[in-house]
Amino acid sequence: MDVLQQEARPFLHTLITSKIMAHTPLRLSAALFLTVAPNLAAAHGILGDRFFPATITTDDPFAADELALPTVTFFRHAEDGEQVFEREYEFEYSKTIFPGFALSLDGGYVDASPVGEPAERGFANLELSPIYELIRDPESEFITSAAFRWEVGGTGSKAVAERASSYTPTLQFGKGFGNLPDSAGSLRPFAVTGSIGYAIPGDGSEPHTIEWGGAVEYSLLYLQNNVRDQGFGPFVSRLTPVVEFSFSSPVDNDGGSTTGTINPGILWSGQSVQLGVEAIIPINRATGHNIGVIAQLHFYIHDIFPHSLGTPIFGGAR
Amino acid sequence: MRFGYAVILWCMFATAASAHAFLQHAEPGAGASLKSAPKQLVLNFSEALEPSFSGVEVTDSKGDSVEAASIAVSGSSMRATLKPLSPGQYRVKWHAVSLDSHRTEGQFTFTVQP
Repeated sequence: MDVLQQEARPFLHTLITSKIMAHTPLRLSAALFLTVAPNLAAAHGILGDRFFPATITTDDPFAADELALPTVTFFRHAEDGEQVFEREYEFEYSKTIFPGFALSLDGGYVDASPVGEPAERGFANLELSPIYELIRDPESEFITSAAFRWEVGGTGSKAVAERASSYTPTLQFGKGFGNLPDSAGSLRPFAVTGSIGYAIPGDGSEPHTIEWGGAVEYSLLYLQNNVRDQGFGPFVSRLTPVVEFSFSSPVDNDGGSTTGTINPGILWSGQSVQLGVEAIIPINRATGHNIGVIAQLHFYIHDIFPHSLGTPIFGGAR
Repeated sequence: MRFGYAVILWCMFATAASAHAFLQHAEPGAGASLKSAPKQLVLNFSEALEPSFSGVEVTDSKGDSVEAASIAVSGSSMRATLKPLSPGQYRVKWHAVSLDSHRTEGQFTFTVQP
């Protein structure tokens, strides 16, 4: 398994099967793609005055009822003269079991086309991810959560998915800066989310990696409603410029250097649906040197079905 | 495919009574600096409100309430009649519960110039 495999999402994992790894160009492709691979994150939430949209590339700390369908990624990169065009089509469904605890299921379809070589296509492994909110403080717009990502080995296509499972315990947080003094003015719409996880491959010969990333967001809704009325209309006020970043740092087994991407983009949050698009910019040559794009359509299930599918199975709504 | 588009459009536009109530417009607005004191505060939201669980408080720099009467909540709006305001900064704190029981809240300040 490659260094980048521990991004622990199907988007990447699918490219790292033994078949692919035996294929040098595709192996390189996989390494690059792993860094780009989004953590297909998706949880939005409200803390005090703050609305946190669902980030696309990285995990955020909310346990919520929602559906990301589809998340589409296009990424072309070159490595040692080899060009590979990667496409991913993914979904994630998250269901609250009780308030503050949710279980997510995600998966996807991968299409990797190295120039001059046959394409590798197929379904990625499924992934199960429970998340539990440890601290939730609306007053300070702060939340922290514990999550566990389990990529279920062997559930995807042999052509593109790993046979062994991998496990990534993760700590996540979110913090809005609305509680800065009024004099901070236009800094108060800022918010950050972050996550750090330790990826444990099922195959012992592969490196363990630290998966870390986050997002810096600027809420126009917060600016408009809590700081200064800018005269934004209903559409503009729902925009959130965001920069996400996602890195993978191997810690053993000669895993190589840190790889990752920085993804600037914009999110639009409606009453029950969110749209987002981001560029995918590799941070170094080990990651790649071509810019990709990722886009997502996201449904707030708890707003669409507030009395049925959108509430926790046990314990009622928060 | 058409069914898929229909579902997406429905989710985007047909949920008027089933989502969080976000503030869409306030008068006076956040951060406003007014030459004359407003006689009332009006807040308009993206969803219809549950009157029993929605409200707003306007306070002066000492923390004293400056509403002249009880808050009127109707449809997707809140209205507060204000006492005559002297120059200074005032803080508005609102909370809104939509008909499907989702809660939102917010606060902002406005200033009445001397």
